[in-house]
This record gives sequence, C-alpha cells and structure tokens, in this order.
Amino acid sequence: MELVSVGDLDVLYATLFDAHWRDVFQVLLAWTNDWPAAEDLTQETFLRLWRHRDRIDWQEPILPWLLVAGRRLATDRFRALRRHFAVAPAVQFHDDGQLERWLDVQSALAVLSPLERTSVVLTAFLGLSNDETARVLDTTPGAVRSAMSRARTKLGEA
Amino acid sequence: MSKSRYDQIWEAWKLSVEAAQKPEAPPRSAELLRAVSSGRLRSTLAPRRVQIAAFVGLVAVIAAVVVLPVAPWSPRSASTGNPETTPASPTPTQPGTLYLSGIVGLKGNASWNLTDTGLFLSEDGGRTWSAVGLPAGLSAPLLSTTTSGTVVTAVANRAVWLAAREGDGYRIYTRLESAAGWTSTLLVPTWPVQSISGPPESIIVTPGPGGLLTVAEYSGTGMSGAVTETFVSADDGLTFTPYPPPFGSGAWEYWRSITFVNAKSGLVVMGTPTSDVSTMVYTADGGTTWKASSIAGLPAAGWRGFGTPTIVGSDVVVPATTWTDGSNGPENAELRLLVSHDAGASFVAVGTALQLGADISATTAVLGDTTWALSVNGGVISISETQDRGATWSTIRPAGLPRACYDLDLAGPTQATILATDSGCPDKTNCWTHAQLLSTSDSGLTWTPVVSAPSPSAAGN
Repeated sequence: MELVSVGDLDVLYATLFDAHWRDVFQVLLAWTNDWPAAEDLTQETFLRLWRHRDRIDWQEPILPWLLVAGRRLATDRFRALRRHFAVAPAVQFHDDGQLERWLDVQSALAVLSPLERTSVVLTAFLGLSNDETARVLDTTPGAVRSAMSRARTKLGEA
Repeated sequence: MSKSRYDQIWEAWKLSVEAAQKPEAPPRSAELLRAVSSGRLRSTLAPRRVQIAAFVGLVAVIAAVVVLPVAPWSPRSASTGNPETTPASPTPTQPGTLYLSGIVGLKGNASWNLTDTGLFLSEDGGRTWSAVGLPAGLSAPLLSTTTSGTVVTAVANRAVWLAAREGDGYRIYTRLESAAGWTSTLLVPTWPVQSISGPPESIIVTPGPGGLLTVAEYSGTGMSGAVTETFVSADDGLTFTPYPPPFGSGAWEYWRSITFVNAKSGLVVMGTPTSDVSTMVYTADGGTTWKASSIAGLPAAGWRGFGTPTIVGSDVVVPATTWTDGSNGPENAELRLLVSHDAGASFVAVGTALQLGADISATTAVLGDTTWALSVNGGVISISETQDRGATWSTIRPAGLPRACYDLDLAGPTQATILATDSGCPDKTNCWTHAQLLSTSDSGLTWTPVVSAPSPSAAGN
C-alpha cells in the first residue's frame, strides 16, 4: 500500500490529463460521432477519475481505465441523447473551414456503427491491438476484426 | 496513386481531432479543499483492479458535474486572429416547424417537453400544449440539461411523472390529472453488493394498466452488467413497494424496458449496451425470482432483439427482430410479433414474418391488434402495418418523414405521432440538432410537422 499526498495526486492528475485528454476525446468522438457530446464526456471521464482516485491502482497504465470509463459513460449518455436534443450545436472551431471539415467527416462516418468507428480509432490511431480494443469495447477480438472490415467496406461504398 | 475514400475520411478525421482545443482539466479544487478540511491530507491508494472502479455509479459523476463549479469547456482562442469566430450555426431545414429542445418524449396522445423554461405537456399529439409547472424547488434549467438524468413520462388524461435525482436515489414526482399539484416519494435503492454504493446511474419509469407505475433504478457493475432495483406503485405513483434486487437471478444486465402486467408479474427486456441482441426475463412473484421467458416460433439460428412489450388486454405483445451476420453487417432481418397469455412467462410467434432487409432496429408501435413498424433500408423509409397481429402486413412509403425517427406511437388505428430529428446542416446526414413531432391521420401515408409550440409564458407553479 502506497501513500501519495493529495498534492502529488493533483500534479499527477494534471499530468495525466495533459497526456491523455486527446486520446480519450478521440475515442469518445468515435463512439458518439458528436463533437459537443465527446467534449462533455471527456470532462466527465476525467472527473470520474478524480472522484475515484482512492480506488485506482496508480501503478497501472491509466489510459485503459479512462477509455473503459469513458465508453461506459458514453453508452449511457447515448441512451439519454435519444430523448434529449440540443437547441443549437455547441461545436466551436477556429473557423468555418474546420467546422465544414468535421461536418463532412461526421456525415461520412454516420454510416458506421459506434463499434465500427471506435474499433478503427482504437487500432489505427491509438495503436491498440485487437485484444486490447476488444477489452475496451467489451466485445471479442473477432468482433473487432469484423467491425473494422465492415467499416472499410461501408466507407468504400459510401 | 490517389488515396481511397476510406483513407481520405480518416485523414480528415485526424485533422479534425488535431484541431481540437485542449480544455481545462475538470476542476477538483473543491474536493481538495474538502479533503484538507476533513484531515485527509494524505490519501491512501488501495491497489484494486481497474474493474472495481467501474462498479461505482455514473450518477455520482453527473451529479458532481451539476453541483460542483465545473468550468465550461475552455473558450477557444482563434489562431485566425478573431477570438470570437462564430460557428456556422445550423438552422432547421423547415423554419416554420415546431422544434423542441431539452427532454422530449411521447406516448400515445401524450407528448412532453422539459426545457430550461419549464415542463410542457400535450394531450393531443403535440397540437396544443400547456405548461405544467414544476414542483417547488426544482430548477428547469438544471433538470433539462443532458447530464441531469431527469426522466419524464405521461399518459394522456391520467398523470405526468417526473423523476429527478436526489441524494442516493431518485425522487418521483406525480401529478395526477385529477389533482391540483405534485406529490412525491424518494426512492433510494439498497444495492445488494458492497461494491455498489451511492446514487443509481439512471432510471426507467413505466406506466402500466390501471394505476400501475413501475420504477427501475440501476447502476452498472463492471463492464457490461448492471444491477437494478424495482419499485412498484399500484396508485399511480403516490406510494411504492420496493421489490428485492434480482441478486443472482440472471437479471444482471442492463435493463432496456420493464413492463409489469400487475403488481406481481413483470417482464424485462435486457441486453448489453453495445449490442443489438437482447433477452427477456420475467417474474411472477414481485421480483423475488426472475427466469428467462420461453419463446417459440423464432428461427433457431442467428440473433434476436426484442422491442418494448405492450400490454393488450390480458396479453403481452412484443415485436421481435431476428437476423444473421453477413460480411457487410446484419442481413435477413425479420420482424415477428410475440404474444404471451401468461404475463411474459412464455411467448409464441404469431402471424408471418415481416422482411426488414438489413434494418435490425425498426421502430415499432403496438395498439390493440394493430402494429406499425418503421424501417430504413438504403435510405428509404418504409412503414409496415398489420391489423391482425401479423397475419398480414402491408407496406407503404410515407411522405414527409425525415430519416432519423426515434419514437413512434399510435394514437388510433390510423393516427400516429413520430418524434424525429431534423438535420440542421444542409446535406449532412448526421448533424441533427433539432427534434420535431410529426403526425399522421391517414395510416402513415403523409406526415405533417406539428406547428404549435409550448409557450414559456404560460408556465407557473
């Protein structure tokens, strides 16, 4: 059992946030295909990390915990979103070009399921193996391979 | 050599993600202050597995987001020199239409909308609205946020119910049609395992026949399971009886719906959130024991998913979709109606199968012997109808419906309402920002957006 001061944890938390927020955001964006929702969920995922700091083994890599926690938050949020609608998009970009690019990507990726989008992002952009991806997504490595294959087929046909 | 479309899309994805602005870390200073003031200057970190942390409910986090002074997503400082660049705000494609925001839902003739200005109810399919007025002490702006976990449901000419988080549970507010104000009951689960504590992640509120109202509060356990505690009311939510948690009963998955036929007999459709596959369990002893429902008449091979059960007289009707996995995803999807004469203990598929192609998530509604199924294949919407419990189906191509239809409910044999989203971004298929209600009175041939709007000025307590 290791003692870590609250001050140490504060620094560790900030360091982990700097190191991982973009990975977490990217995975949640893949799952939701919704920029504002992914932003909110990223915040909530790190808030959950902080609130559960006493239960976490800080000697283990924290990214898998963040991805699983974020995916679970996103899954529940996705249900809520079916009944919840924003008045106006909170998406904010530097310029209209970035917004336009994201809307094109969002539209193209709408043909994929959350599992298909997230499988591609976890493997191709975060470098996870199929086994690791399956653990994050609570599925089997075979389902991950199948999802990535379907993603390539669907986007090729889109 | 030109890049494939697949590579182009993901390259644009990468550029978009790289352009994301780093937010401020969610603040924890308030908690730090509490830790210091309580003498816990040094925190002991137990070397527990990651999965154990996932036992803790989502609501604690969500409640913290609401209660703690969480800083908003940090404002962007524009690299283009204009720090206040206004995003291209998508606008509804049909400006004259009623667009709803906040928490929206419908059930038969009842529609509800909880916005940051109040709670509004319609009992005529959204044509006219009245402000209900929230219970004293509740804040519409807080309740209507995405993270609030608030649930609203209503039955026309009967009651409206509002479930709001409070402490380690949910407070159920009931406003009967015959009463002038709200009554409330706090329902706090007693989780059956030590690993779970604190408030539930979410809640399902289901009106039943007579004065039956079922409330199911659940919290996740590990990666895909959940434990749920049920409270049943026989007087429309004025008083509740807590039912024992389904410990060790095989009902430890996420519950998608719960339908009690009477105070003792209920049916649950459950399945992991990441899958379209679901199963059904039932209880005949007030939730003490749960068993898998027996189902006859569905294909033995492939996958199964079940819609929300509907009580029709003394029967329970459940739309069931079956499909197989093809190389490009689901295929050979078929919809059948399952009928139970014993409150969900056993089902038999009746009638003929409706072919759905690749659509394994058709939106269905059941009213008496009539069932509608809205499906989308290749971007084309179809509505299929049976008026004889699936013996015969007729299919039409409706006019006036957007592709993203979430809820469909029947208000009569030829009348229905749909809750749909409207893409606020021209030519983008998944840029939905607005909800709208559409209604039909000609068996679904034509759909017209509902145009009257809830009036905030009419709100009051």
